[in-house]
Amino acid sequence: MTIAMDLPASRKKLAKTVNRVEKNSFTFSIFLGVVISFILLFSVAGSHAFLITVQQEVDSLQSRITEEMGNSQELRIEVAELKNPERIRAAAEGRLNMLQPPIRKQIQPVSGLPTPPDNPFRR
Amino acid sequence: MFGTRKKVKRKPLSAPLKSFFRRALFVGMVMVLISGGLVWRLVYFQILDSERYIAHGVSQRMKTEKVFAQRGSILDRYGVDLAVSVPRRSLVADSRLVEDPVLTAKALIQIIGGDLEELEEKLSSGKQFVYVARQVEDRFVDAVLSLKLSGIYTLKEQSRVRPDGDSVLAIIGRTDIDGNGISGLEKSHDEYLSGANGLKIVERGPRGSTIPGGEYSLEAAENGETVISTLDRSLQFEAEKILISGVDKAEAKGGLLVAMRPSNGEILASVAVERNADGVTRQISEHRSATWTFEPGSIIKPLTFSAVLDAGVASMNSVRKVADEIHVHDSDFSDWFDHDESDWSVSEILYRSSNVGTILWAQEIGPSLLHNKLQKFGIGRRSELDFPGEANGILLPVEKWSGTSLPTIAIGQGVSVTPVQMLTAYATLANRGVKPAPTLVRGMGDNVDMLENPVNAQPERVINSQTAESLVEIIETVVSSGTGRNAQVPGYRVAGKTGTAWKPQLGGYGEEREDRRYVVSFAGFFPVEEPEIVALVVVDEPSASADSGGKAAAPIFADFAKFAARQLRIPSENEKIDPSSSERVLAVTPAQAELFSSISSAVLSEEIAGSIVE
Repeated sequence: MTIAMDLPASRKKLAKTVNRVEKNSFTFSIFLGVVISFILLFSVAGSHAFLITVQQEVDSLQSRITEEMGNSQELRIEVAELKNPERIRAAAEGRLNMLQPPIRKQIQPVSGLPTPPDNPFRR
Repeated sequence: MFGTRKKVKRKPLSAPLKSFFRRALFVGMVMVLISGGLVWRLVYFQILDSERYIAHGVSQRMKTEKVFAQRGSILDRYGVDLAVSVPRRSLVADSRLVEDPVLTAKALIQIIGGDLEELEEKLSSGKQFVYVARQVEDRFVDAVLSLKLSGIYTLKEQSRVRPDGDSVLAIIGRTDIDGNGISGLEKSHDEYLSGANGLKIVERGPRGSTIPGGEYSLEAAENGETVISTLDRSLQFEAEKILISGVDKAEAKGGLLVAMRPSNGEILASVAVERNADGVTRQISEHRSATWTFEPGSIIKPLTFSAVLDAGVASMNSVRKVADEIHVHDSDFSDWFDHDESDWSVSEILYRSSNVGTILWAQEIGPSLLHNKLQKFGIGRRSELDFPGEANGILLPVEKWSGTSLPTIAIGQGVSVTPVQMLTAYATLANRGVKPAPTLVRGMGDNVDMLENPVNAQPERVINSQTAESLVEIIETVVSSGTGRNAQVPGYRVAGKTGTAWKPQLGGYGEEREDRRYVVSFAGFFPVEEPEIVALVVVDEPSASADSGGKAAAPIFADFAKFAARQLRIPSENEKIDPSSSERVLAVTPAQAELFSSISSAVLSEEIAGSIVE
């Protein structure tokens, strides 16, 4: 009789325990799900923010490339202007007080001169 | 057993509670209606009229942008920029957004200048897009933007810049404000220079930043190719200075100088100048070497004699009696100097530039042979240069020749040529009979390498090499001791011919000497043994004191040739290692000579190192 009475009690306890565990794991699953969802959402938001930042960098790089290409063209013009013979002559005659030779003289080597070795001016 | 449900008598609601429930019901219904309304709008936006709103959203996000191709540069033969495109900003307006057109126009005019009324009109036009000012300097654009005027924006464009100013403008040409070539090489090579614009489709956020992961497609722009011209900027610059000085000395109306490498027809320099009413001589923006024509005068005589010699009717030593005047058809032709009737060989006739002698030999070959030969030299038809606006010159077909055509054309009157045609004819003599195709372009490529060569016409043999050699010998004596003495270049063998032509005027060439106007010229090349440069100098209407090619044009040729010899490092007779070699030894200092002597164990003294000659 005692045993008979005990069995249902332990079963009840077991059932209660099982119920509790089931309930807890369900709660845990929901909790876990929520946490994972949050993490996923945050990572999606984070990666999106990262993408936007990178895209902004790409945009700014592209505009810099365009700008630098323009600067490079401007510098080409400046180089060409600096190389302009007219500017060089004006600088030589004006700033450096150089004078055109009144007569141009030509050096005339006599024949028999040996070929200079590795002469950079040799044609 | 089962009890029946007892009827519970509900207590009647109190009045305030009833009122609360009624209000709650009303609020609930309102909420339901609002929710219903919202749901309906949602259904309307998302399902019923979704297409329109999708399209509206797309139009806000999707941007189609033109990617501008950069116009290719034009370089000189050594890679120096002659024309480059640079980005510039233009000021534009959405006139619908301009708050006060009058005030805005006044503010803009103070910075960018221009016509106030015109700008006011533009800003009040109601148009979505109007140009305020195009390709403005950055400082002005920044000043305008700092005013934060409503409806005023900037637009990026390309502007064409020539770093050398106008010194090569005549050849390079111009582009219009939209970057299309309208003259010169800019026009003739527009298809290479212009490139192709690209297209970018991109999704952008409200601030203009690209939406990552959004739609993106890019059709890249193809930048224009670089055109590498045959010009040598230093030669061009010096040619301009020398020509201006020469034209001033001759007190002429204008002049031109064009130089070519005879071996390949590459034009190295081409300048035309003109004196304005104030007496100031300036370069002009027209490429007269190709677009202007003139009667060449005596410089055509070597061409006439090439026909005579090639026809085999005479050799250089063939002699005939030459008086100083001859009557042909209804006209008298005379030599430029008085002389008794003399027995002159072909060489002497050419050396003395005798009109009568030239006419006599031209009569021996007749009109057809002369016409054909001149045509073969390229006279009377556009050259292979294919320059925009290039002239044909005039060489009438034989059927239209009158009785005086043969004698006049044989001495360079009654025929008109472009300077490039005449230059090419002399390049043919320099090449010993092979006519090169004149060109202004070496090739197309990027800024580093030449990738593409233009398809040039093939050189063509026009006269027999022996004939050419004989003619070169004679015109060398013209420079060494004849009318072209002023064209001598120390250390170099120069060949050339002077020309003094009457300039056509209304009703003829002028009856009396004082009524006549002249075009004087010198065409020549050097070094004779292996010509590197052929040049033509033409001086238009020089003063009476300089009314011959020898006086006005030959000195200009000599000055230019001296510079070109240094610039292109053309070895002089004395600088050559040996006469058969094109290798050269530049003059050396005594110290260098000592060094060489120690290397070669040869005894070299200061005397050997070099002596100075003027």
